Amino acid sequence: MIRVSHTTAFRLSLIYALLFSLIAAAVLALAYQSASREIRQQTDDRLQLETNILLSRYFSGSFEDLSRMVAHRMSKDSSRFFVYSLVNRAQHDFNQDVAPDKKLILGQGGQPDLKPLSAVFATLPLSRLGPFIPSSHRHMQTRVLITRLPNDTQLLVGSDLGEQELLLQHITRVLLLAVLVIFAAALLGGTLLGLSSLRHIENIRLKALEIMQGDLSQRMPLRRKRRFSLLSRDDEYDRLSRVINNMLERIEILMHSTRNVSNNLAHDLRNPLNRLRHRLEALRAQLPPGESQQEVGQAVEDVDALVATFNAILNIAQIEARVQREHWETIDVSAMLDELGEMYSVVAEEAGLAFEQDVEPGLSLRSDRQLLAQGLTNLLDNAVKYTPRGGNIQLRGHRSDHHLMLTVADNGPGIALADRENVFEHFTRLDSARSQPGNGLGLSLVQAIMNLHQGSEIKLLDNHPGLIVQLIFALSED
Amino acid sequence: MHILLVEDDHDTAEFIRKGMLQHGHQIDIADNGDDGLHLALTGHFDAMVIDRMLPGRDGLSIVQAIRQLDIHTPVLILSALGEVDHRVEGLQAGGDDYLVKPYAFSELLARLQALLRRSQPDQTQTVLKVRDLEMDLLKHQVTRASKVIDLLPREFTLLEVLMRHAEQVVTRTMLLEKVWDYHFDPQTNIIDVYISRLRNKIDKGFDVPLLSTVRGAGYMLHDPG
Repeated sequence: MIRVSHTTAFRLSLIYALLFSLIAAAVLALAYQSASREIRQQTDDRLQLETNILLSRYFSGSFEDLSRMVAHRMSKDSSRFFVYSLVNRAQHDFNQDVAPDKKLILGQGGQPDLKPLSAVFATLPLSRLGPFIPSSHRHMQTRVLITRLPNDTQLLVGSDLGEQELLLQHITRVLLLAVLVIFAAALLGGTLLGLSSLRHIENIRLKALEIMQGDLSQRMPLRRKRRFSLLSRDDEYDRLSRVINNMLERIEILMHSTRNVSNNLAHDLRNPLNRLRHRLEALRAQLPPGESQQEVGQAVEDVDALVATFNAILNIAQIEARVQREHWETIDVSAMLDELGEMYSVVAEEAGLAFEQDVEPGLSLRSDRQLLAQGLTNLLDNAVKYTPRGGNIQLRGHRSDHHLMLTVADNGPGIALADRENVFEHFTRLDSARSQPGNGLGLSLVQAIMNLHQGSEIKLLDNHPGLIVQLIFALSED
Repeated sequence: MHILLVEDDHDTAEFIRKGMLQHGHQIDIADNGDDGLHLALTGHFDAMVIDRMLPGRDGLSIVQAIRQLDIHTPVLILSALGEVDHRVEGLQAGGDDYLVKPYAFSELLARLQALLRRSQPDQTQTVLKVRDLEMDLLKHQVTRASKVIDLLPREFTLLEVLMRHAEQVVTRTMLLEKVWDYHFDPQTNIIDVYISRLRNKIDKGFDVPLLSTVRGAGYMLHDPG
């Protein structure tokens, strides 16, 4: 199962969505600013218009006319939109209460009967202006335009900002919602698109795993079948799959021919070797005891040595060509190590070596019992062969969270650092080993066996002096 | 014993025929699969030796055919294919033993004799006896001349195999297979080491040695009488 948050598709979509939303937020913030500026400007314009109407009354008539008009307007129903106040500066100076944010001169231009008057805009709660405002909603933020009349009276026209604030809040909410929707849509869309590509990659991965398990006849899926989809054409995934499929086909053919070659080689060489051995045996039986009989006996042994080397090569070739794991089972590794331990403690004792065994109980591994045992006996054989009398050999088996580690350690001559890579190659025999019987295939075989196990590793370490060989197997969870 | 050999390699067949006759056994030979199957179905044999790769019908299908007809004659399959998988295939087809070429004649003979012994119903006995050497399988105890002998677990199994096949040659590879179930040859002479320890335990201090080495073939528990 794909964990969405772990996919590249999701992470890329997240970054895209964040970036996209950020840009959208910036654009919308600009829109908000201009809208709010426009709304404020409209309020100011209305206040100015209303003030001008009142002033034209004042200039065309008298202060009393203005006073009446203000009183009339205040009493009228329309006054819920505007608040008015006409107060003498001697009584109260509004300038003490307000912090003007805009100054202007009224009555300029236009009508000749208007005289220029200075006025200020300010925003403040009406309660600040004390008892001179008859308004009912005194706590609201209010936009006011205060004009000073020539007779030292101040005309205040105010407009409640409550509605404007509500409008702006509403706009803010809509815009925030828009940003959220954009973010969610971008993230979802991106992830879905990404996942649909990812599904294909995941399919390829699963198939590859199956093939690595040994079924070489499997092929990568192609998705050309979905005829009417936008994604159905011969896209890059299909091309990738096809290349992999061609590769698999070649590998399968090569594997097949390797197996065939080694089977034919086995058949064509073992039969004549068999005849040769039988002939020599028959000859030895006919000869009288003596030098000739011994010579023929030696020849039989030579045939056997030849066969042993031949078998080892064939064995490695067949293990390397092997992909099927159908004979694999869960092996009680602890029991196998105990068994090998008993076996080789006897052999070691005979060779004058100490043998130590440290095996954790309950170790298990999916493997081929014969191959695993053969690999381990190869290592133990080497240890016995190369460790001088009085030395000691250790066989260990431990597991950590995800690994099983099988170790064979000796205190023989060891392997020089420079040679450690080479010893896995076929027929490599170190100078120190020339005096011993062997064909230089032991570690190659171990390597071939290890390669069959996924995620396994073979390590050669220095035992100061001597050699430590570690076989490390990955323990799969399933 | 009377043996059927199905082997297409003429020289090999001839060597086996001579060897068997020398050891006092009768042998019939077929050099292809179809004749082999015909003989297997019509003749009476104590054991059959069948090569795996044959002209005509191949060895495995002969074995399968005779097993399907409820013929339980022990079958030893000869093969030039040595891989463990091939061996498993051979045994699954109904073979009782599998021998990879090239092999020593003594190996073939020892295995055939072991197969014959196995087909006799003496597997149920609980006490094995060779002269004064006794193995009680229930008590898991070995005595010689009533003296208890301590054995390691594998030494016990090794001795059990030798006692079950007393008076027969048992080869090193047979012991590796029967005692350890290993179908490969360790480079170290493990069997020789085990045998020499076993010999120390059962023969040392007694007048009559029972465990003898058969040169070029293997080992035998033998009561000289």
